[in-house]
Amino acid sequence: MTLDWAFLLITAVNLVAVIGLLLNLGGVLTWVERKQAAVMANRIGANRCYIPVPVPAKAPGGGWKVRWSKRFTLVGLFHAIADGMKMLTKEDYTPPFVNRFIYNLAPFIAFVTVFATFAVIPFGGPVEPARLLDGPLLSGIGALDGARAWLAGFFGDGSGAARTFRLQLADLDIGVLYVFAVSGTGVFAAALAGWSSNNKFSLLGGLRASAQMISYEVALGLSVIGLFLIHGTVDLGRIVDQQQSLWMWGIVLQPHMFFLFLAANIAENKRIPFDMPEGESELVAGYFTEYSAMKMGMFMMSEFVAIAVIAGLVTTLFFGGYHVPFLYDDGFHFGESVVPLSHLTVVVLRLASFTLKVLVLCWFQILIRWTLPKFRYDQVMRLGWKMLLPISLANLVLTAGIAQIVNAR
Amino acid sequence: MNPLLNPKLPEPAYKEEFTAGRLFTYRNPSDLTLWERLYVPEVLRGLSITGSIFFKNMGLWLVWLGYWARGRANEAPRGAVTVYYPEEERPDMTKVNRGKHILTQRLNGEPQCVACYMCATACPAWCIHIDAGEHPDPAIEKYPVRFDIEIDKCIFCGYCEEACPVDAIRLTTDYHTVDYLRERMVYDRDYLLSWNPTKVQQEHVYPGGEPRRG
Repeated sequence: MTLDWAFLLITAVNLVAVIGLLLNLGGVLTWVERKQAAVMANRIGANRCYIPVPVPAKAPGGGWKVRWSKRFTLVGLFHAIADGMKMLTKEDYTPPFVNRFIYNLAPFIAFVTVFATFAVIPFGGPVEPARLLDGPLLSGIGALDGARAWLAGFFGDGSGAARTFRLQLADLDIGVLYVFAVSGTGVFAAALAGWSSNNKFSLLGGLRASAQMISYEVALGLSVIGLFLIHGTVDLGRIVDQQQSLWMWGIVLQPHMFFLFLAANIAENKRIPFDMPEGESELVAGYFTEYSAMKMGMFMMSEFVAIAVIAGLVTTLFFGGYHVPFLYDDGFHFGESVVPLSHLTVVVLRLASFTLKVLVLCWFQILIRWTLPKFRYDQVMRLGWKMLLPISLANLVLTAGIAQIVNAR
Repeated sequence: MNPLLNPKLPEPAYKEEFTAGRLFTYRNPSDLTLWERLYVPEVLRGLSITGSIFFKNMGLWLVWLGYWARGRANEAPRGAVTVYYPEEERPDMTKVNRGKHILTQRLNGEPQCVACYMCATACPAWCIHIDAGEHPDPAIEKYPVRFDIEIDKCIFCGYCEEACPVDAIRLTTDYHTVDYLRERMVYDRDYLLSWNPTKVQQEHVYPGGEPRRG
């Protein structure tokens, strides 16, 4: 058996793209959160961080000298870098009497599970590398012939037929089940951090995190089973394939489940209005009270990356994934009329579509976070068990009945 | 509707009367309508309010970009109600804002202060420290050899200003008291006599009314 170098290369590219996208998006989201909160509240927001830029200035005695300008602030984007630098260089204090192994393990669990969740989310359409350089503009360039021949050879299957690759890190059949399993493991981070910190506030935060996770994991899973019944699969790639038509998008099929799924996801992410485990007003910082420096930064970072992951998941299930309305593999189809597009254009359009949807949903989550007040703990439990769960169960029964009727015809 | 708030019910004279003979359970029935208790529509309404503010301000930012491109950024309409503090200051600061202290002078430049310790006694933060000396003029009797104000402890209540019988200490509207060193935040007599407020106040407004003169 020989190594599949083409598959390895595509996987490496996917890996770099996913990790790069998520890490950078997580960093940028810290800035977005501050700035959007400011704009929503008629404030200015973070704008002090700057990178000194040399500019020529008139010297008092005539002639010119170099002045270091403080104006290059890029609307406060450098605050994310400054935060990262601060957290990396601060003292990493471990309080006495903690369980050191578990205490150190918890932030890594939080970090890894969030990133691992994104592995099954398809973030771009099928790519046929051999056809990437075809098209009305690129075909005419003779200099690309060599590259085209190399692509066809390297990504061919040996018999001359072209292979198609999915822009998805792991094309798992279990798809969404993997997502639920991995994100469910994320609760161990909060629970272990709370238990090992030797602090009452941390312990309470960890307990609340466990209880909340258990409550909302149920509604989280049940709220999308209706979609799986309609699509007949849990493989996220297949689900996205079936959302080619605008009428098959999850937001059109089950709009009420969108709110449930988003609410359950925000509760899983432990953000306001569901920030019981963190509970700034009552538990200091909840389960990560005793963490400092980059370990605390990893908890924060995983929270912000989870925003992007949730946005990706909701996009995949409810907003057609990478699909652009009316865009098929060979171009736009408006009824009978067809606007043909090259393969490269379609791939780029679909990547851009997925990124745009994710960004809009990130914005929406932050809008929710700065609009709604925090729930009381009993309200959180009541919402989870007495509202979300019955509604999703009723939806499951209803959808199953309708699907049975539709399939029987 | 909360029965406790319902004006039609007779007001109980005592709580015992209201709870007598039965187990009193405190209830707080929600006065929300069904539409409001559905939660999602009200959440969407709230999101539309905050979202509209967001988009209004982003639109104003685009307008600002247009002004900025023509070099007239200062004239653009502002969405933010806050200011860039060290560079800008609020133009609507009130005239009775209490800030840094100033010691008034006699015509010959000596301090008006007669070292009576009234301000130091009235000070709730105990941040005024006075040492009195004997003045050659018997009509004045005393003058402050030392008059220190620990501006980092001062709470800007203005009691010293009100306590002063000779209008020797005033609170200006200047609020720039920040410093990196605590040592520099103790203002001595000579500084309090000589520092110039950034904005010269034509009329000093006394929050507690005009002091007695003469």
